[in-house]
Amino acid sequence: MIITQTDTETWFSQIEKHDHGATELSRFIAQLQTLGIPRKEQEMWRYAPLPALFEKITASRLGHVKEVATAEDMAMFQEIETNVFVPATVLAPSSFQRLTLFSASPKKEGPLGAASPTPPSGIQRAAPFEENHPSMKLNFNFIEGWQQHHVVVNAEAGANATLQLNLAATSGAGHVLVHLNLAHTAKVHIDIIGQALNAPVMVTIRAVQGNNGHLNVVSYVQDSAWFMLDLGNAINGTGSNMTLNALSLVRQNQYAAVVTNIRHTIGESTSSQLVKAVLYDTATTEYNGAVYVAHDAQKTDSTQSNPNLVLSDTARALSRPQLRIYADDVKCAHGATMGQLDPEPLFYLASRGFSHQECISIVLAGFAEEVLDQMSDPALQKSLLADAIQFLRA
Amino acid sequence: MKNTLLHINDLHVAIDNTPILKGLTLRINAGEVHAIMGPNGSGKSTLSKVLAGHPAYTVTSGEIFLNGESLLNMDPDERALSGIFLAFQYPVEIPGVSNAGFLRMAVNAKRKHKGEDELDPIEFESWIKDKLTLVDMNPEFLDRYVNHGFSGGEKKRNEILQMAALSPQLAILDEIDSGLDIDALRDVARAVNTLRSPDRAFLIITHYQRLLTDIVPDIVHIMANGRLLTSGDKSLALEVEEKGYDWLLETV
Repeated sequence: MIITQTDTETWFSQIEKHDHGATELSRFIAQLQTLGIPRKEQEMWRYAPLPALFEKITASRLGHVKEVATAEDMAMFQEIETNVFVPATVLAPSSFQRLTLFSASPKKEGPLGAASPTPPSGIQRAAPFEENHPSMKLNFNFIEGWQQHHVVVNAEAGANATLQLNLAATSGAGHVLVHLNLAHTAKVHIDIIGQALNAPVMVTIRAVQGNNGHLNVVSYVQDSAWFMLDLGNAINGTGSNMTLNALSLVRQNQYAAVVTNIRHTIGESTSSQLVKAVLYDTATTEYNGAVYVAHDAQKTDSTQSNPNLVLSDTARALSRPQLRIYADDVKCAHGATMGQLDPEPLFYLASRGFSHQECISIVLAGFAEEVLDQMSDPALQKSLLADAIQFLRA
Repeated sequence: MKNTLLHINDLHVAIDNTPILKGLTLRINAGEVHAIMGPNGSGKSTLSKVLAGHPAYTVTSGEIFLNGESLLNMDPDERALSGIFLAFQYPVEIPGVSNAGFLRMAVNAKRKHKGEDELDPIEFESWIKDKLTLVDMNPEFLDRYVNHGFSGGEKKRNEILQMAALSPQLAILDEIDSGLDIDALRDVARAVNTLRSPDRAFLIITHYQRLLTDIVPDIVHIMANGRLLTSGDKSLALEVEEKGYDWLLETV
């Protein structure tokens, strides 16, 4: 079943089904409503003005934005800078100029409250940056209430950095906002791993890329009561590339969504999105992917692919790949598939001597592996694949 | 006396209640190479899929025996383990499944079935080397996903690589020549010729005589309307190439 509208009403219908943390869910819904997520009748093309959401609720300083940001980006960041919090700052060597982390609690003041001046209790820096290949693991465990964390990453020219976000939500809801500023030639890889998310969790990434930079985002979410990855990226440099590989494995009445808004503001840049899901029972997944190609952004090359394996009659995969193209010399492709396992690969494998059950396992594992292969660390790939296979066998 | 490998007797097959094969009889002995030619829609590809056990086709009557054992009660995997191999006309892409892993698992399934020791990844790497050379395939293809992003020619080479690795008793090549350029066709033909042996048989389905100059068949069958119309030696293929099928349809 394909439903193309996504709005607060759809979200409510999903959220209301969940048993976990009903109070937190109502609060979460109220926040979305307050912050202007559009209703069905007034839906905007870009689905949800989420940047506005986070401009209202978060603030930080960004040091190196001016190198690559457009006037529009600057306006957004300046608005952020007018509400300066005192963040807990971690100085990192080499290319990571600054990593800023803070938490905002909705209980204190304003629409979502003020920031905490100290690193929040739920956040733990699991591994330090390294000199030559900065990598940072951040573990977020949302235990109670509704927590927000803001991560700002400035990747300077020539940087090659990896950020791993490990998400857990035992009973609290949470939001992680990542602001990325990629200077020319900077490479940033982000792994997002969410397992057993019993309460709503949202990850928002707002990125700005300069020339010849690479941004790779890989997301793996398994068993999420309510999860959303919202990725906005302004590709403001030529020769730059962005990839998103996402996999959601959901069952029962779980929900996982991927929302993207990729802006090619200048030509000769590429983006590719592969957003996959496997659904059982009455689970729902959603992909709202927007690619915008500006008037002068000639030679843009962009792909969006959204394959979904819907393995029950009552699960729903909602798909909405969208293109807004204003240039005339571009290559843009998008597509989505929904359905049960394709019988042809199963027969192909069976004709090589695999039993029916083995064929199903191989195809499902392969479906997951295509995304997990993109994770930064081979050991991580292996352990997540084992988790995915266990989920898919169950 | 020759050893009968495959015996198809008065086979009738339908898909969605539409009859496709209408009384096909064929006997293939070990060591022989048979070619089936015929116009579009004559049922050639259906025959290949039925032999491999495709679930979409229903055998409404008739029998198929491999080494005297009925195939009809066997699932596709059991047929494969018994010695049937189908090289697909359109090999399927399986993203996420590494070609090396898939091939090693398939080889090990067969070895296990025969009571042989399974190969670990390191043993497999050296074991597969000469097979890669045989089909002139870059080892890098093993690191890619199964057929994913392969060109038409690369997919066909990959089919022959699998055939070489799985060492079947009966190899069915369904239009292995489609989508191949001259060089690739020659490579594939050379690999098939190398794999010819007294205890193995081939059933080659093709539209064109071209393939049969490189892989010389023992017997050529002409198929039309779900049955074999006539059979002969390799000269029959040349005759069909020259005159087309119409004269045969009229005379038989």
